[in-house]
Amino acid sequence: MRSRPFRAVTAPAAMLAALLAPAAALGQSSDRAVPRNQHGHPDLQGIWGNNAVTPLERPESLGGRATLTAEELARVQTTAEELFAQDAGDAAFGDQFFNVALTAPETFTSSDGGTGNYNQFWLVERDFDDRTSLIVDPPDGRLPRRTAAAQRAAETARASRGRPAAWTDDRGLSERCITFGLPNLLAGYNSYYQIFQTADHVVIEQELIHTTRIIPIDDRPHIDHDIDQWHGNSVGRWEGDTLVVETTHFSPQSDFRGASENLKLVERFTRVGPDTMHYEFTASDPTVWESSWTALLEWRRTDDAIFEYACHEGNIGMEGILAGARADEAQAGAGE
Amino acid sequence: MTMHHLRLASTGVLIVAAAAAWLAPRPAAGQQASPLRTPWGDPDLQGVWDYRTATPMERPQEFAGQEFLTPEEAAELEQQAADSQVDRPPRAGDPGTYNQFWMDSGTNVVGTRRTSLIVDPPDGRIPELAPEAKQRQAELAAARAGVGDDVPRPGAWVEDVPVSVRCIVGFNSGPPMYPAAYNNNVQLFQIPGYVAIFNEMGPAVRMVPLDGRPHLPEGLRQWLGDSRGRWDGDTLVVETANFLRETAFGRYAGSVGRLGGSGPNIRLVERFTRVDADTLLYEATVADETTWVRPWTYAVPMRKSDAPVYEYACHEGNYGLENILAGALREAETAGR
Repeated sequence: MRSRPFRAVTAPAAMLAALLAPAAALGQSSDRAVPRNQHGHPDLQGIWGNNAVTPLERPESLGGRATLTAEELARVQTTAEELFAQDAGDAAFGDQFFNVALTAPETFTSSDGGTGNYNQFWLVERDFDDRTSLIVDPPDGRLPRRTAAAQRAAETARASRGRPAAWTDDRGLSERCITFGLPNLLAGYNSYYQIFQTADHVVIEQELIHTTRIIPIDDRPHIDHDIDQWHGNSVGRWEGDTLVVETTHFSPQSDFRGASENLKLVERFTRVGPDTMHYEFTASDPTVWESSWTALLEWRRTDDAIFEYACHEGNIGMEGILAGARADEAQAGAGE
Repeated sequence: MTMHHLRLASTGVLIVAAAAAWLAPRPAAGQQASPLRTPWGDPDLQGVWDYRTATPMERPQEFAGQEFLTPEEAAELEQQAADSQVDRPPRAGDPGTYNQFWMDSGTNVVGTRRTSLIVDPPDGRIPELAPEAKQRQAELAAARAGVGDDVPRPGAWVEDVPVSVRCIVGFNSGPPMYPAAYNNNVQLFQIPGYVAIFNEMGPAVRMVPLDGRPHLPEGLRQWLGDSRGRWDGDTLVVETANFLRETAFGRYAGSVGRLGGSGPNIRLVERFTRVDADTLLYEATVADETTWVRPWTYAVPMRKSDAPVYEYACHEGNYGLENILAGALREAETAGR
């Protein structure tokens, strides 16, 4: 896996703009006309980064507040910069970054304390704003309750994660270089997307495991065969200036926060400024969540390039894991 | 490897659909474009292209000195290709392999009735190997003596298995692309300044900039290399360098043997020309003086398809690689005793 050069400090202008922009404005279209592409459609083309620090779920310690105060935001940012300077040891992934900086910096430990983990070199600098959760619905910023069956499935999955992996299939899809799932929420780590628009398709290339989605926008129906795919089957349409993409036909083995093959995903891409894209999605799966839920991510345009993702190249992590399992087996056999 | 390869359209359907696409007016958005041009005036190469064919890469010895098949020979070759697509029981002691259900190679020869896809050298054969390549081949043959195809050498691990079997780079998706056993489909997309080449096998995607930017620094290497495109008249020319290590294409070097095949030094020039509504001519010139004594070029006319491209399922629902590695471990254990 490769990283991008670490950029030293957040641009003050961007920071100021983020401070001044009320969170409530997120999700609304800009008054400015959205530029049109070569086909007269709203132009979403370019390379977009998802490096926001905002966690998926609102931390309970915030007592339901949707935004941080300016003081809290400044403190979170300062704490994060101290904790996660490039040479400051192990990296914090996903929501851990924000949650540790917000609540308990002194308790931060590597997510793999036994052997150590990636250091911060592998992650890019994060974008800060005052939102406290990506989830905008339910209004409490938390995932809806899981159904009883989904809770049992989650228990089983948790128990199985606690066991050493005997074979590759016991590790997650991203570790097996298959996919980071759809939608991919991981911020700050190869979290770049390049969008292409033709008259009848939208192409989205994701840097992580070079997942590429080819989305028809020509009113064709979903595939009607009994076919399921890791990333489901997507069809798109324009609603005003927003690209709406509906995806079904996920595989039972697809992995998005415990969703099943019944997941229905509706994504909405809206360019709200020259350098800002709102990526909003609604996930519905009545077999897993008691209600549907919606999250809003803010992507920023970048002039960086997308590179080929090098998954498990130059590391022997997977080999080490499996060799460990074989050694365990040999030891167990010798003890009999 | 398992794969989805649901090519649903019959030839008849293809012709009708392609004709309909040809006759249909362009989308109203943007300026009215001439046929086979994008709204901004570039040749329109977009769509799903099927590059199956029964024409072999190299000219068979029986056609030595003969550049084109007669219509009768072409018909016979097509008949042979169709007849060969039947299930056969495995040889005694062989566990068997894919049956015909999984295969989707071509049964039609190319329209020119060329006896080989290779157009240069004129003899239609892959050029002689360079001395280094011969040496690599000999070393590899010695190192792999007694080791089966797609199996790691004793003491080696999954890296010793070809990149296509490891689901890293498809065996026919390149770059460069060439017809093989299945999933011979590529979809092209264009926007001003970019062409996206999406291959079903892998799946592999290349986002090719056309804005004249230089190649990546020499040290930044990728499995699919680094592609830059430009227009030469109505032909899209894509140059690719900066390959990482061995390419799956090395496998096609036949006598070289897949792991001793072309390497990171390969320089590739692909040319895409929309010959007519139903045909995209694909030409690839490969040069690697550490592998072949001279560059060589092959040409594949790709046919328009209206079938969708599916997600490629590489080693899904099979235990091939697991069993290969388990077997290798078992052999290593036995040898250790």
